[in-house]
Amino acid sequence: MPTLTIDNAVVPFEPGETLLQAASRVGIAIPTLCSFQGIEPPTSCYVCVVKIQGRNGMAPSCATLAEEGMILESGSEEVRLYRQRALELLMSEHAGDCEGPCRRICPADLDIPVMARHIVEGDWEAAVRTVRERLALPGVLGHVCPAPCQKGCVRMPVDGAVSIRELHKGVAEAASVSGAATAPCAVPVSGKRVTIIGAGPAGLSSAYYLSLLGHACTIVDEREEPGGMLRYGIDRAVLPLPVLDREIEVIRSLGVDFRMGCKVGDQNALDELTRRSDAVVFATGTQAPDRPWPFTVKASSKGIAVEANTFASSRSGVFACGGAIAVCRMAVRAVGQGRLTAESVHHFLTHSAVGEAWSPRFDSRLGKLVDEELRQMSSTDLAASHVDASNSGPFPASLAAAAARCLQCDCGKKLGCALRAYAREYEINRDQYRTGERKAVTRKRYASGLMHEPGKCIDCGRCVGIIAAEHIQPGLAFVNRGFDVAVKAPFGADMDTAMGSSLDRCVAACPVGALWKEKGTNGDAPQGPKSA
Amino acid sequence: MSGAPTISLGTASTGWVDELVKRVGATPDKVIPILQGIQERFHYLPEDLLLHVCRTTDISPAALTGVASFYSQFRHRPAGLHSVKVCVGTACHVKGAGAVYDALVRHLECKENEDTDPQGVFTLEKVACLGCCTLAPVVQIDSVIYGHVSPSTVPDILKNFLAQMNDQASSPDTAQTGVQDSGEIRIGLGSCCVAGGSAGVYQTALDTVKSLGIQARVKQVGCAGMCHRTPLMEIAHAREGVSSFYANVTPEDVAGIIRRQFRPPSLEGRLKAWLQNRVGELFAPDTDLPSRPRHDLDLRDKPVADFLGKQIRIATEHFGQLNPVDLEEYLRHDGFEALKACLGSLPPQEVIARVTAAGLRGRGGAGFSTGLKWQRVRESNGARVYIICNGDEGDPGAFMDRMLLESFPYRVIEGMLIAAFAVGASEGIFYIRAEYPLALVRVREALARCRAQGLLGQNILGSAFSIDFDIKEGAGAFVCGEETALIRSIEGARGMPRLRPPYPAQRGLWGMPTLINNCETFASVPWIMRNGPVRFRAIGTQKSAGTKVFSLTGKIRHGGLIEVPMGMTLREIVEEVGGGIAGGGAFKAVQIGGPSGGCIPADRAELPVDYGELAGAGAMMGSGGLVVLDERDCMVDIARYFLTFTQSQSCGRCTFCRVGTRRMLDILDRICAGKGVAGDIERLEELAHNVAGGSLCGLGRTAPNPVLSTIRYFRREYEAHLHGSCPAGKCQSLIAYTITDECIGCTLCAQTCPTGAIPFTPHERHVIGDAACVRCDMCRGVCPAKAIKIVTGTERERLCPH
Repeated sequence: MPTLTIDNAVVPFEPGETLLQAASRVGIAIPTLCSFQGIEPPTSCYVCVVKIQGRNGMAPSCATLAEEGMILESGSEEVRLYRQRALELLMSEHAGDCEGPCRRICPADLDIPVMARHIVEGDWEAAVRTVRERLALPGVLGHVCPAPCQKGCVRMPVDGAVSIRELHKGVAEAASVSGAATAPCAVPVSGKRVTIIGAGPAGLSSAYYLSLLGHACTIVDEREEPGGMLRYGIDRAVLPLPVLDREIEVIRSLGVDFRMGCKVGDQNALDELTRRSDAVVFATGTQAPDRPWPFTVKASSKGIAVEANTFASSRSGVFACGGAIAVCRMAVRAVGQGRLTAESVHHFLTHSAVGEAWSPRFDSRLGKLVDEELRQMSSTDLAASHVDASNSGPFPASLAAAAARCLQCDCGKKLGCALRAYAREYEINRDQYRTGERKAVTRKRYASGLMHEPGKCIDCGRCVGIIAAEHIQPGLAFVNRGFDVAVKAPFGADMDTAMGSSLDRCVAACPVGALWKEKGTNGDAPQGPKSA
Repeated sequence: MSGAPTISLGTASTGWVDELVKRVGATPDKVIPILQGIQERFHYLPEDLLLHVCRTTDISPAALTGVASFYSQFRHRPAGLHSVKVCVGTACHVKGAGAVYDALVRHLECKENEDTDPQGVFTLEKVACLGCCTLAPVVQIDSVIYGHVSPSTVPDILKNFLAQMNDQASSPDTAQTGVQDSGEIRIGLGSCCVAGGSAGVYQTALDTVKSLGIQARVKQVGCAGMCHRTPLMEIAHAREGVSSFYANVTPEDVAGIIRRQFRPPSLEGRLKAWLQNRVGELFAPDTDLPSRPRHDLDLRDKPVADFLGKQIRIATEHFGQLNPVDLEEYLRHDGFEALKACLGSLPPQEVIARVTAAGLRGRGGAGFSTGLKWQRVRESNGARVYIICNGDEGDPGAFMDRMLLESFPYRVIEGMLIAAFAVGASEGIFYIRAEYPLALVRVREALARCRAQGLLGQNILGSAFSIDFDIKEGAGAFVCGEETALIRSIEGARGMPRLRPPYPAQRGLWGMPTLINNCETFASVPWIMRNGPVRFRAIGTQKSAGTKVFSLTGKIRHGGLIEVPMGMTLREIVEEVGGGIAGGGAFKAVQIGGPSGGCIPADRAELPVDYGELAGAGAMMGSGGLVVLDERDCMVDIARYFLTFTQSQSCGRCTFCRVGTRRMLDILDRICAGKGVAGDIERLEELAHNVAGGSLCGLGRTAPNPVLSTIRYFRREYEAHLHGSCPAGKCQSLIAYTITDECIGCTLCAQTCPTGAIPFTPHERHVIGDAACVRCDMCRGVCPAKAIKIVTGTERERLCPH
């Protein structure tokens, strides 16, 4: 078997194989957005480039045939830079939001459009799961949250924002009425013990998610009852106590041990806690500025100093979140940080070291929509979709109606989008080439459930190639030239008729959210890399 | 579309399309000729006819849609009665084509986003290059070409055109007069000459010769190369063997020249001549267009001697002497001798060896060894082997291919036949731009005559060798100059280049080995075979043998088609052959190689014309466009101009070319608009390197050259733009027009201003209202006191605060 080398590794190949195929033999992952099984390599994306020693410029590995003795670079800084540039250029002509602006704004990162869809579909289990993935106190927040998310709602300028807060409140209520869904599945017990100081929203949230991850949690708080500011700092007319009690009960039911009336007031007490626990989380709320922290952790006048992406303090095994690290006026922020801290503590407990338990998502951002785009978008809200909203299950019809106003402006392929995954992997600068006009945002829904969003198309040519290979009529064509190239159905034919029997294959092949099917919002596994 | 006539399409139209399909064919590869046919008939592509084509042929709707939207020749909405094509080629651009276009839009009162006037008479269109660079700026209305157009003559040419339309009486008499030769009257009928008005000259000469009974042949000849002085007329006396050249001849001059040169045979004729001379003097004809001075050209005259003397004619041998389509004449001038020699006594391998030994390199741009290319095709041993002549010269500012095909069709055919013999080809194709109608006509005619003489077809010249050539018309896509894209285009697809290898030499047209050479490459072959490789090699430099044809245009005194030995320096070309800068400006730079090439500054003009030397300097031989720039040309604007072109011509496949060139253009637009930000030059350079390294074909790989070379040599000019100043006074957003104290209050500027930006204030110093000024430059042209000045930077801030 002939061989070549990629990044100094000797790689055997069969004659006639491409560089991409040869690389995959030995597990060298080369990103690609256009090559696809069963079609001629379109060589359009130029993300799969490699450098061949002795040749000028970069070569597309998807179409370049392997030759004996070739010496390739795939992992070098230069190649990485080319891939990054190609992705940045593609991103500059990709008109679409990965996530809805509501979710980007939400400090707890609630996946609002997906929640809305589950409500409309009457799938209460999925709705509760979506809400609970991000909100440990969904009912409480349904009452107290100032809902910054709603200010970003795309629907706002049309006829007012979607009442997002009412949605998760409704989900929480419906769940409590049905009596189920709050009980999470059993998780193997890790044998690790975490003490959380403070029973406010941040502490409760940390305890909730740490328990779900299998760690034994103890919450200590100097007050009589858990809830922190939620119990002692908010008008009961705003937050009825039963709502709070019910959600604390859920947390207690996970096995969290509440030690109320217990103050951790000095270094000795903290030392004692750290001896008895594998990790400690400070969720004490905001400390009065004139009272210095009585512990040997690095702190400023704002609060305990933590690393931005881990919430780890200067002392090993001690974490802090919520008001303890900086003034925190919104419970939703405390809840969000509580969850992230739980993730980080989990990473610490399972890896015996602090590390990034999560890295920031890549989010493509559209910016403002023009009137025509808004009009178009609002015509494809959930109410207009083919989802049967008449059967909203345990949800009251009014809740389903409120949810149906959601425009679903997040991307239908946000989980499977290869462009997004590579954008993150290659740490691209999203706005590097955002010059000139952006493409128009358009979305068309077809009876087959196909959603076509040409503004997101990156002209990779997979669908055109598939249809050509399968001889479908009338088929799809590239039209125009240069920057104006676009994929179109000839003579104004409908996209779904144009794709005929190849439709599903094209939808699966589309590396971005230009082609997707409505049911696929949360589940389909489109082609693409495993995210890093 | 307002105003434009809509053609009612019914069964008559579909019937017409059926006829067309019957004539052209119904297979998928016929899509371009079918669309061209429909476009020619209806001036656009009516959708119902396209649907009809899909229903009645093997062409799929997707293929048809893709092709119809790829080539710029095709139009998708109804057009006005007449098409007005404004050439925006490089030479026209630097001479103000943009202002001419704007003037046309204003004059025709086209609404926003409309390209047709409200009455539906004229449809405006910008075209990449009409190949009449020496007459820049050029406007073509239907088939009539107007040269040296300025914003102020726009109304005149439209009026002139409509007048011609009303006056279509005379039909040309093509007969040659006289049996007994007293000489030849040769009139250049290359596109430049035609555009310069040589058709009228030719007709008048025929009439004059006939009416005076002079025994002289009036003959059309190809390009003489002196396009800057068109129309050209040469009088060659059979008896004395001398000839006189007349330049810038108008039809009104013709009779006088002929009468002076030839003595009419009869007394009656002489009397008539004498009378006409008198009458002619009394009633000097009046024309709408400003008359140009006419010159006798003396070949001993220094400029003319320099222009001609420094040149070596190989591809353009016998320039200006041959009737382009006269096969007999070509044969008398050693035509097809080389082919005969090859067919008679040379084995194909020996032909290839000689071309290799001559060191001939591809004249289309990249400069690959021609012999090696032939060798590879020969070695491929295909069942069928194709040969293609690449006449898709799309570079703005270049017209070598057009001239060669128009003036020397037989030489290109001969070279191609020799190549076909050498590589064992059995089918050949001329791929010629549809924008070159005259070239198409001449080549078609030449091929027919060759066929009739047994020079094409079965058993050529009685040998065992058989081949025929066909013509395919390009449909307007620069990228089709790239060989794999050209092949896709012939196959009836979008002209998308593909990754090489495999090279066309192994897998080309219809998957068969294919030889593609440029016109000039083929045109050099007969000379090499007749004179031997050693003589060819002796011309030029070590690595670049022979000569190179250039179209020398821009701010040059003697522009035209030139053929110079490789190794000649750019300075020699500009200052000696070209006679220096026109209008007394300072020589600033030479743009060589068109959109793939670069700008070489005047201080590096000692650079010799050589593939390697040019590439090293950041330029490229390209196909041979040579545009001379002077101090009034802004280098940022030039870079932007070329990038606008390549960006619009990208096939749209590779990310770096499709999106990257657009982003580069965005940055350049920003710089030219005075909105550049710190770091833009570096950003541009970096992206340019990425585009060059991350593109599949030559278009993308070389598209950044004009940008990189101007940054390399004129970085300061870029920096000035970032600081709000355009030193050349070109970038509209960075300049203002102002009137100085020199103003004599004559009001000419106020009368000329198309937007009323200059109030009419007789006997007072005039003032330009900056907000209304469209920077058309018309006022500056008419001011007798040279009181109108362009200001930029701080001076502009001071004089025209906004």
